[in-house]
Amino acid sequence: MDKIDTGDTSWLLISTALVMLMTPALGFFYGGLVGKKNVLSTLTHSFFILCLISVQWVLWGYSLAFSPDAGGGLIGGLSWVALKGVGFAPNPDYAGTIPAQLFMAFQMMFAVITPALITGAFAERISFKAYALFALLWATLVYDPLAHWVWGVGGWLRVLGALDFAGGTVVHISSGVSALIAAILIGRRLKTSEPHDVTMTVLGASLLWFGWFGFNAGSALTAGGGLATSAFVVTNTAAAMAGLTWLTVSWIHKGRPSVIGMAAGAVAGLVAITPASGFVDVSGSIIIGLGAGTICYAAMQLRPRLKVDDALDVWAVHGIGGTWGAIATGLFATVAINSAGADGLFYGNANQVVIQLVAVAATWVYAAVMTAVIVKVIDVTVGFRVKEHEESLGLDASQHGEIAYVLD
Amino acid sequence: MDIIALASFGLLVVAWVVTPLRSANVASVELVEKAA
Repeated sequence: MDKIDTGDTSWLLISTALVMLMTPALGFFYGGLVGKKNVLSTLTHSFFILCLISVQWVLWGYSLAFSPDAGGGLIGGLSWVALKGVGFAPNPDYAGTIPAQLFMAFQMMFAVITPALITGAFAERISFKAYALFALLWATLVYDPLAHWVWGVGGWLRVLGALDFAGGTVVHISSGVSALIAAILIGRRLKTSEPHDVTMTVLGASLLWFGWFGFNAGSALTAGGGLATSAFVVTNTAAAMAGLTWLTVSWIHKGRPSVIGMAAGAVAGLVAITPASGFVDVSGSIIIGLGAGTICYAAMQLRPRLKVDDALDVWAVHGIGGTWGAIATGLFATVAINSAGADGLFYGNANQVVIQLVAVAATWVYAAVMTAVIVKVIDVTVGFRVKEHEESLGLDASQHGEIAYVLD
Repeated sequence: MDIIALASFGLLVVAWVVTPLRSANVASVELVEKAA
């Protein structure tokens, strides 16, 4: 049996807690961007999913994603339902120096935040009942299989050699593409609203950045050997560079450096470095950050032209940022950083870009098709949108019977 | 790659120097009034 390493275990316990914080942080990031009559519902979307997927994951989600392959590299089996057999001894297939149950808990936090990311697309107009069903179905039918494809033993993209250190495809492309599809199918808000509290958004982005150290550096699954440190450094560098880039581009484009833009840019940089964080050096991370700040800003400018009401630009930041990051991993990866990875195009291995493109395309198509099916099924059964007068009233009052701010 | 990374950062700094900051206008006043 592999021996548990106390340093690795400590680091992963801390990282798990760091990633947990990201989901409520996302609630604050999104909560500041919506109107003040929808802030509680937006916060609730994140907090509720933390509760929901925490239970779903231990009951069947982890088994579908990480238990032995049930066939074709597409999905895990049910042998680990309710954590049967997932104990304190390490599982060398995933992490040989920490308890298997800790690896499960770390992965749980990824499963939690991914559907929460989508909620920015349909903010301010969906019924809570529909949302609860959507979150459960999406986590089970989209996230769990994708996690198996990329990270599960026997998963077909893992076997193919796709590099995704911390979730560029599994987390960000899947949520970003699903956000776009959901926004198209659910339709536009009756009336768009201005961000009601930018301070909340900047605080949320800051806490996301903080938690992302657990997300990426924790994905080294060990505190030793330098990989976690490298992932930490490139994560911080890419976020910083993307924040600077978005601010600069918005300054050139609109005449003033945008505060929301800097926060969104940092998040875009964090998204883009996620798949690459265990494979690229610091120069690679600067270029990835520059690309994220530029490409995601450009994608956001498409929203009015596409007439898709992805309310909080989930597709632009996570879908496009994740796609850029996944492709950039194929460009800038080097075995000098991670001998278990592969070299990318800039280090003489053009084939890695092809593999990354296959992973990106497969994730786009699967997430889009499955999300369309889930949204349609929910829409014809319980209805996805609230009634018009409920939307006008705001979701806080109409869905939860509470309001965020009482001003005398 | 190191050169590209350095040039990328340098480009941003140059942009801050050469890009004019739009002066306060009617929209700025409306923003302040809205917040009051």
